Amino acid sequence: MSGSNDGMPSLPPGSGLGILDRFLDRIERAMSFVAGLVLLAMGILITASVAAREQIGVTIPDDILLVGLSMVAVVCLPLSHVQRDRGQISVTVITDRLPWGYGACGRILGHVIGTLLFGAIAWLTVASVPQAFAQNHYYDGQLLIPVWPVKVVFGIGMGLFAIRLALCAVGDVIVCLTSRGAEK
Amino acid sequence: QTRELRYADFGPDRGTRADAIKWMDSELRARSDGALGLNITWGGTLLGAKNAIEGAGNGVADMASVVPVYEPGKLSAWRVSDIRPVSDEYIGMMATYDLMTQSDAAKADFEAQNVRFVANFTTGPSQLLSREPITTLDELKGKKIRATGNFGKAFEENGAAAVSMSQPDVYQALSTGTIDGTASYAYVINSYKQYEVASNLTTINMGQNLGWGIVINNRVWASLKPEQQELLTQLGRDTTLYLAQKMYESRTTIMQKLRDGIDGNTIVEHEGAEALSKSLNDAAEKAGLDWLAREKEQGLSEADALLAAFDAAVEKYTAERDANGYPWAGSN
Amino acid sequence: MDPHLVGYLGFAAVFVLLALRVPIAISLGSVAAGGMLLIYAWQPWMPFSLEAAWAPVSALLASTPVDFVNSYALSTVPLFIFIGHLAFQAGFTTDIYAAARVWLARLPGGLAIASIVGCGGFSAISGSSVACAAAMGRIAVPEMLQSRYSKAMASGSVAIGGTLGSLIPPSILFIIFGVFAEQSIAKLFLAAAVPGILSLVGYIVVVMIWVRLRPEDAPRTATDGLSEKRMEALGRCWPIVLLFAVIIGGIYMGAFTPTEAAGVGAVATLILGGVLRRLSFAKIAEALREAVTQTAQLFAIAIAGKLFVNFIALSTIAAQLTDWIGHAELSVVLVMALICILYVVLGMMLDPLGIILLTLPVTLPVVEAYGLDLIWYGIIVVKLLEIGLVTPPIGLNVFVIKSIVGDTISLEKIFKGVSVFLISDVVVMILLLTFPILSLYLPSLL
Ligand code: NA
Ligand code: NA
Repeated sequence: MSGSNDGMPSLPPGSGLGILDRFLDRIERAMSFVAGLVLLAMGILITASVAAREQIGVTIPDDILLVGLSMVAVVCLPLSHVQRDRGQISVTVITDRLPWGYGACGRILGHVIGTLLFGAIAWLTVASVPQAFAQNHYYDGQLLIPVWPVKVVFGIGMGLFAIRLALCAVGDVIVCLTSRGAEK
Repeated sequence: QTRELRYADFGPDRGTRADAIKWMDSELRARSDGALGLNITWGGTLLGAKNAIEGAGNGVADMASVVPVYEPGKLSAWRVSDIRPVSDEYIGMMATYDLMTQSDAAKADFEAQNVRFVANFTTGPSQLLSREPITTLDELKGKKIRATGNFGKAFEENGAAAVSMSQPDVYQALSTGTIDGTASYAYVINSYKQYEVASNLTTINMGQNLGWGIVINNRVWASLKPEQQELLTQLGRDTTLYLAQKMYESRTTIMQKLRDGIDGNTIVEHEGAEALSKSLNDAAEKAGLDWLAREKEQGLSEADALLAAFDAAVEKYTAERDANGYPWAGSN
Repeated sequence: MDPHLVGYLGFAAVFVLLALRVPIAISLGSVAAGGMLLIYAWQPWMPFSLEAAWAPVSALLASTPVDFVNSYALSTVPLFIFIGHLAFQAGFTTDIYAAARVWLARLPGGLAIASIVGCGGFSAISGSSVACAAAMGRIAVPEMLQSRYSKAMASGSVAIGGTLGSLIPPSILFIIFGVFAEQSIAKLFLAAAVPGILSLVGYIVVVMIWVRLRPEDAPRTATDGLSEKRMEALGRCWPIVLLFAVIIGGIYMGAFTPTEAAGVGAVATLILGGVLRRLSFAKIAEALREAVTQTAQLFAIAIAGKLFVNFIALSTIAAQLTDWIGHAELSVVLVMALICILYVVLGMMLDPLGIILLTLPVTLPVVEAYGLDLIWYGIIVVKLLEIGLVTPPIGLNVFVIKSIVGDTISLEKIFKGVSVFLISDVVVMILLLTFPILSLYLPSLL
């Protein structure tokens, strides 16, 4: 096998996880779509900023800041969808040469610690939202862009990613157990 | 055995600011007889400009260089020092140092972030570096100038287009004419080699950025012995004074170097652009006061008192300098 | 426990996790978080306490990823990836490869050579190697595969070609180096010209030798040398030529910066594709979907890599290694050799910017003490960093190609393809080290 597809394992039919998977999948598709729109908007914003500067000698307020903030949506919102469809990039050359069990264990291990890591990142970021909201923190600039929506977007992206990783871990265990059963 | 305090700086390990941090390290070792020292990480590899206050408060680093403007909602009182157009390093830094160590509002601000103020930094006064000479308001009209924050608003007010771009982009942008000029500091012109691509420098003496400096984590502070705390307090003030002297001197040296030419690049200095300078400074100050009014609305209730205290301190240090000269003048 | 030891164990732990096929982002990120917990828990002046370590580590986890992603400078990466997908959807890239096929049919490995030269051209409009590999990868790799080039050559040539991105100006890395080393950025840009061209020529020579040894890796396409057909194919290339002219012209005439070029290029591609009726909404949506997918895959690794840089900074192993080199009183040749090894080792795991920030404060004084020219050292460092982009196990340029080709080509195959080109990089590196004049002649004219 040459691929590195460690995304969502195909669940055995009738598994209750399937419903959860499909529900999550809809949200993920929507999030990827939003990320695409933000990417498009980012290109248009930069171009408009250049055009305004060169043609009429004015600048779009906080253009640089807005591009940086857009990056949060472009990068984080699709993470979960990517995990389901293709998986994150991994090195398979060694496990490919080992008995099947090593690869399976690695997959489960990866998804479990991934859930913990990205779950922690999501949780810790979201935990600071109430304060940023209550104290009305905003970025220095002309538009007074508040801080909290950026953290919320980041939290949604990372949170979905963590949930998907957890689902992958559970799916792996189920697949592992059922295929073990099939071998016997 | 030396207890090395972990120090995080987001900038390069060169230049006057870096030298002051290194000086602080060696003084700390000497004055504490080797009990204390700094373990410095440069370049933002541990804490960047955007998370330094938060990181120092949580103990990521024991001490850190911090800039409140990059971390919304944190240490706002410090930014009061950025409103007035004070162009003298010594006066600006010492006034800010006094404000940060004596004002209760400022102390409460640091307390809320679980840090303690140690020393103050500065950028030095801001000047206008441009491809073509810009000495009058007329010449400024329609020009594209890289400037951020209150300076950006000031340039917009005076008919220029204020372009924001990251500092590493400025070199290429000046060289190809994407921008006509940049509001810059002597050390930035020097370290980013901006003199290679723009050769006109107009003295506009816009204010310094005084809202940055060194903080120490409260728990680390509490773990120091009383005499070590006293030592560090004194060293913080000495470091501020040391940096004021070195920034003042390096600005003079850098300017002389630029006039003489580096690798064949010389700078033409335009002085006496008083009308331009006044108009820009007034607009920047107004933008600063607008900011302060907003902060007051948002809950910085001591805003006026802070500004008044800063003004009083500036007045005091100005009088002192006018009477006695700079404190370091005699020692050299 | 000694932070240095935790640092070295961290490197080892990443290798183990990777070998178990734990995804790269998760391996780097979890080792970074775990390693930092250990270092903070084991402060020498207090008893071991995981509880005390939680505050700093959670502060870093809460701030480092979001601050890293919230970056104007990094916006070039998704935007250049988007341009690559758009140009592909509009068929612009197919046209240019059709022309290359007709024109270069007789030249063995012609498409691979065209791809490498294309990367060199792209480097002149982009300051980032990853962005360069991303845009060229989407354009070149599928076309080469369609012409039945071997997977190793198709993917390897673009991954290595992408490393020209930071060597040929404009280049973010040279500006950062210039600031840290207080060297003229104009001189660094000029100094990079010959090494950049040398590297490019080296890659072309590799293709030519490779094709000679294994002709089946780059089959020649049917030659119908009718000159009118050649001209026709060439005529169809104007959209991409126009786009390139707009971007490169815009940068060098001062209309916009290299960072802005990505955004302007994306909109220009959209407009051109729309006007020529070669882009439908469905195609644009597909390009966007592909672009954000690829971006997310790359940034998952980059975010974790940034946490890993935090961890390495905390362990202070870069400083320790350089201290050893500096204090051993070695000959200048040995010192440079050790520094090269240091950069290659760090380059296995870390990204170029992280390495530059971690190592320059400690290597510069050593190099200066030996009286070496810092402009020349800048060229050596950036070239080494670029090599790190394609060495396993963490090679961002290779991952860029991987994120484009999905399951068609394995990661190992791409690394294998790249390794052939690394032979020429080793030769170029030795030339640059032995003959500083190659780097220093042009800046000396300034
Ligand atoms: Na480049
Ligand atoms: Na590598």
